[in-house]
Amino acid sequence: MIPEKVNTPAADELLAAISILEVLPTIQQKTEFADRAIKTVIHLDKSGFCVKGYIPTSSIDTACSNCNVLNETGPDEQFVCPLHTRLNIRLIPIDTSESFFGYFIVFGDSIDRFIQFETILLNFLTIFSIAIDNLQKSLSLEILNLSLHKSEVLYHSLFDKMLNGFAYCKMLFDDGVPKDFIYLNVNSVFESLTGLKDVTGKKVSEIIPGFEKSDSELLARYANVALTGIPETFEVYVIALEMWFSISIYSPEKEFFVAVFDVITSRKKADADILSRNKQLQEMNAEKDKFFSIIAHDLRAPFNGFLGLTKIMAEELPSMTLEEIQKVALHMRKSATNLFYLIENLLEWSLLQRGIINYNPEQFSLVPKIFESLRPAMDAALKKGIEFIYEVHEDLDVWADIQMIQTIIRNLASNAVKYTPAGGRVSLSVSKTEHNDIEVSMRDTGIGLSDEMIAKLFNLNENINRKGTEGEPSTGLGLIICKELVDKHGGTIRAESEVGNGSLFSFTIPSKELPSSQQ
Amino acid sequence: MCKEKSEIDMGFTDRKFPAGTHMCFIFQDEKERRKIITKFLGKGLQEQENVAYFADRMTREEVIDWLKGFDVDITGAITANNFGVHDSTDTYCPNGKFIPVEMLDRLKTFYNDSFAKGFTQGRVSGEMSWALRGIPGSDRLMEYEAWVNEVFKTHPITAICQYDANKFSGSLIMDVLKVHPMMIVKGQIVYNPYYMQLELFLKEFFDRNENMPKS
Repeated sequence: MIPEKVNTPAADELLAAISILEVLPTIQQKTEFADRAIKTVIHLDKSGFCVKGYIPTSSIDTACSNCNVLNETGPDEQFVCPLHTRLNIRLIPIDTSESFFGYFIVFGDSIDRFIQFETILLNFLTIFSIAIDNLQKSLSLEILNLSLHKSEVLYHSLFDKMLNGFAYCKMLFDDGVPKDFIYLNVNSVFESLTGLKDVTGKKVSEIIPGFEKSDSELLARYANVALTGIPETFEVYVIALEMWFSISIYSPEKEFFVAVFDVITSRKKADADILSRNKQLQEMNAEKDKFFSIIAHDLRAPFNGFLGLTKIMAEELPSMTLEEIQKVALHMRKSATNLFYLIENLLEWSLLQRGIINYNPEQFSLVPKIFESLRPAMDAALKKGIEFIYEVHEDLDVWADIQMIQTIIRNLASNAVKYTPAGGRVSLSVSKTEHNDIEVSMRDTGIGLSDEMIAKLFNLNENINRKGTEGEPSTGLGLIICKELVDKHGGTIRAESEVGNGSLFSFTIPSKELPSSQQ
Repeated sequence: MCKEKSEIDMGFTDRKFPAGTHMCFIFQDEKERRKIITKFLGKGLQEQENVAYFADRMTREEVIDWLKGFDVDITGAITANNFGVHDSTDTYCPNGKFIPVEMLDRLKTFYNDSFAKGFTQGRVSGEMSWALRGIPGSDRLMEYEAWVNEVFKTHPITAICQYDANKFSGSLIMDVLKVHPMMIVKGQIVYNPYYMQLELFLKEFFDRNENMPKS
């Protein structure tokens, strides 16, 4: 029996045709009717087909025990249809005289069945010796058409769902020179990647005016692939779109090319950032190397002095007077103090560099904190006979790390006293800038700095340490540390000076918390 | 009035069908034909319908004998004028020529008379083998059959057209299928998947028969 599941309109037609065929008494009538009702190979809504052919009578005395096909004459032996689980087959008899002329009908529930079982199906037909011209050819053709249809659906699905952009184009030449190309087909991702809409059927010169000039090299590469058929993969910056692309091109036929691409602008930017950072890191590393060589040299000097003095004491102590011993001890203390300051500064700088010193800004009143940090410098000024003046007219709030601000002020005040001779003057002022930042300035009447020295002041590569006017030690690191700390606040530090006419050091810090975007 | 009754009992199927159902019956077995047609006609008489039979291979008496075997008062029906047996050639080709539009008019008249006479419906069946005798105009049979469907929309007569598979060519049988919305298969009425709408069929028919005069 014909399976009940077959209920498509086309299958209904076939069932009706079968009923009529069974009624028509002569071969001629059946043939006439069938010729119009059933084609040689009929698609039944892609769910089945019918083949007309001659089958030897003996062959129909078998049937599949599972799907009950070919059992109308009562089989003596059971034939297990290889397709019974997938396809249902029925033979429609027309003439049972010498050879069996009938319709071999196969029903399936999907296109896949026919494609999947093409070989079995052909073998099955061969078993029954269906002698019809080009039967296999026509059946294969039908199945091939189904396969192609399926492939087409699959490829369309693939191109539409792939994450890469896809464009199928025809190159346009003018006297052999590539001038333009037409987008013949693009996938849905094309638009989202490039931002170009409704390109199919249009020239690139319409979509991106000036492309042939701005991106002539890319056009030439497309043309080369379209002409030579040699595929290429490369990364390119498309000037007209201001985007980077990774593109693979191949040519399916001469003068045509297919481009599969991805936008890599972000990656390219990240690559550039990494290169820039690498360069920065290399420079910083070089600076540190140089800095350490300078520091090593600076450490050597006080150590040399210290070693020389201890040698004198070790070798000549019994013969030395108490006064001489005291003098040597004073020199030793001076050397040790120098070393201590240097190491202390180095340690602080090192902590800053390693990010161990946390930057904890807060809103606070600046003036009281300034006074707290000025005490050591004021003591030194008093001993040295230097006048220390405050030019602070109002208290101002700042947004800063208290410890860091105090370190900066301590260093600047210490330097001012150090390089100002007795009888000189050091003054400190605080004011608000036009940008509402707070500026702290330390002015002195000291020995001053040359322009050359000013240029080197905040540079790690240079060391300009020099002793104070009364031989006070200097590490040369104080201002470098100051700059690091001011930088952390998003502020600036500057120096103005003239040899013999004193110096002005000033720095700015924010009065309020900065928006995150400016930090 | 007959308009109150739109579901027709065909007599040979359990299921009822709308008035105006136009069926083809392609048969090979005479026994089967008799069985179906007598039930169809007999049920019409039972239901007080106006019933007509157009006979070609049988005489009027033979048809009446058939129906006597069916549980119906055939004599009473004939007396009551709700059953007529007519010669199909005389009916379809009264002037020796088959003119489709005239036959369609006769169907309309039959339907209108059925109401006028107080019958509940109009029911007909015709043996179509008259068309194989070369009567002028008989090559327009399919054109006529296609138009019947239009007429039955306004004059819903229930009809079975009988086509003898032993006499009609396979090609003509295919055309028969195209002009009947319903077909009788193995004693059952089924929708005919080959049926074509009037315009489509006529276009295809005249394309295929270029020399045929168009109505």
